[in-house]
Amino acid sequence: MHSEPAPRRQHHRAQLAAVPEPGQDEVLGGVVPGSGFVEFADYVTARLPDLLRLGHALTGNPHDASDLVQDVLEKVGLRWNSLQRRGTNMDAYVRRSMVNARTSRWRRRRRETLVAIPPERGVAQPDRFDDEPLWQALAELPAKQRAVLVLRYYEGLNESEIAETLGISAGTVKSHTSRAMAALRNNLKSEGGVR
Amino acid sequence: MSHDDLEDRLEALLHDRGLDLPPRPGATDIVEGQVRRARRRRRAVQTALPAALTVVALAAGLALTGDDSDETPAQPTYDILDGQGLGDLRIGMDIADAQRAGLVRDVLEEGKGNSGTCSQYEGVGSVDYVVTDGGVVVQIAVDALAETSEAIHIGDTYGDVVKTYPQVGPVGREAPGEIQFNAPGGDGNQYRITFETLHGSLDVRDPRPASAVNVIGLSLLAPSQVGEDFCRFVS
Repeated sequence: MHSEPAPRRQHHRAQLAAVPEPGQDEVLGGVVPGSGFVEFADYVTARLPDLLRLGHALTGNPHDASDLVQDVLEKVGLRWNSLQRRGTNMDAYVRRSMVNARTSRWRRRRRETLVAIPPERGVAQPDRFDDEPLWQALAELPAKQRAVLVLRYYEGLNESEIAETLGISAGTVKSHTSRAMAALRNNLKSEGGVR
Repeated sequence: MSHDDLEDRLEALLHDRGLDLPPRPGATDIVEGQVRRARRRRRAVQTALPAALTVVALAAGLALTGDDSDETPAQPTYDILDGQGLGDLRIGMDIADAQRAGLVRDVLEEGKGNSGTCSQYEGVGSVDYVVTDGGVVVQIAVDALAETSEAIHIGDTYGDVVKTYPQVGPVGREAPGEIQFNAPGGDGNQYRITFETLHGSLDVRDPRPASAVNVIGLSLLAPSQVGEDFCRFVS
C-alpha cells in the first residue's frame, strides 16, 4: 500500500452527515438551530472530502471524480429544500445518485475542478495508484461491478443495501460481486500481480 | 489468492489515504455557483406561468408568494430539437461558425472518427454537448429541457417513444438500451434515444415494462454517424 490507511468505517450504513430529526436542536456545522434543516453549502463543505473520495473509488481518477461529484451536487442542490422537507437521508441519496450517474451512460463534463491540485488541462492526470495492480484490475471492471465492490468494501454496505442503492435485486448484486471478484483474480494473475 | 485475501486487499486499497482528494479552497462556492446558474437557467426556460394558470390560482385564493419552494409548479417550455438541429445550431455546420455564434463552449475531449479527429464540445442552454467530425457538427445531444418536434424528451418512457414513433415498435418484451431512427424532416439525420438500463449496459436488454423505462439521452446525428462509423471517445 502507498500510505497510511484511513480509519475503517464502523457502521454498515455509513451516516456521513448528521441530519437531526425535526425539532432536534443539535448545533452542527450545517444545521440551522431549531429547524432540523441543513444548509446546502454547509452540507457540501462538510461532506465534500468523503464525496470526492467515493468519486475517486468509483471512477478511478481524480478528474472524473471531481466532475462526477459536481454533476451530482448540482442536481441535488436544485432539489435541496424539497429533499430536506421530506426528511430524505441526504448521504444515502447523494451516494445513490453518484453510483447511478456513474453506472448509467455518465459522460464527463469538464468543469472547474474541485480538488486541490488541478490536473493539467487536456492531459490525463496520473493517479498515485497507477502502479497498484489491484487498482488497475478494478479499472478494467464494468462500472456496475466496480460500484458493487466499492459499496461493499468501501462503504461497508450489505447485499440488500447495495441492491437498494443500485435498484437491482440481491441476486444480481451477488452475481455482480462474484463476477467482479473472479475478474479481479484473473486480471491480477495475468498481470503477475498475485502476491 | 484466496477470496479472503482478495477481500482484505480490496478493503485496504479502498481505505488507503492515498484515495483522498482534498477539496481546493472555494470548492463549496464553485458548487453553489453551479446550482445558482442551473436554477436561473431552469427558471428562464419555464418563462412566466401561463396566464390562465395564474388566473385559476388567484381565483382559487392561492397566494403566489416567493417562498423558497424548489418545486416546479408549471410545465417547462422546451427547446425543439428538430430533424436539422436546435435553433441556430445545425447538423453539418462548421464548428468554427458555431463557436463564433456562441452556440458551443470549450472542447471537452478528442476522439477518432471518419475524418480523423472527432471533438466533443460543451453545449450552451439545453444543448448538453456537440460532437464534430473533421470540424463539422455531426451530433447534437440535448438535456431534459429540449424535446423532439414530436414532443419526446428525457424523462419520457419507452412506451411514449413507441407511441410517438410507431416505426421503432412494436414494444418488445424487453426495452432496448438505445434506438436510432430517421428524424422527420431530417434528410437522413437520425434521432438517437437512450434508455435507462437496468444493468448499466447497453448490451443487456431490460425486462421492465415499456412504461417503466425512461429516456435518459436524446441526440440528433448526421447520417455519417449511423452504423459503426461514428466518433469514439475513450472516457
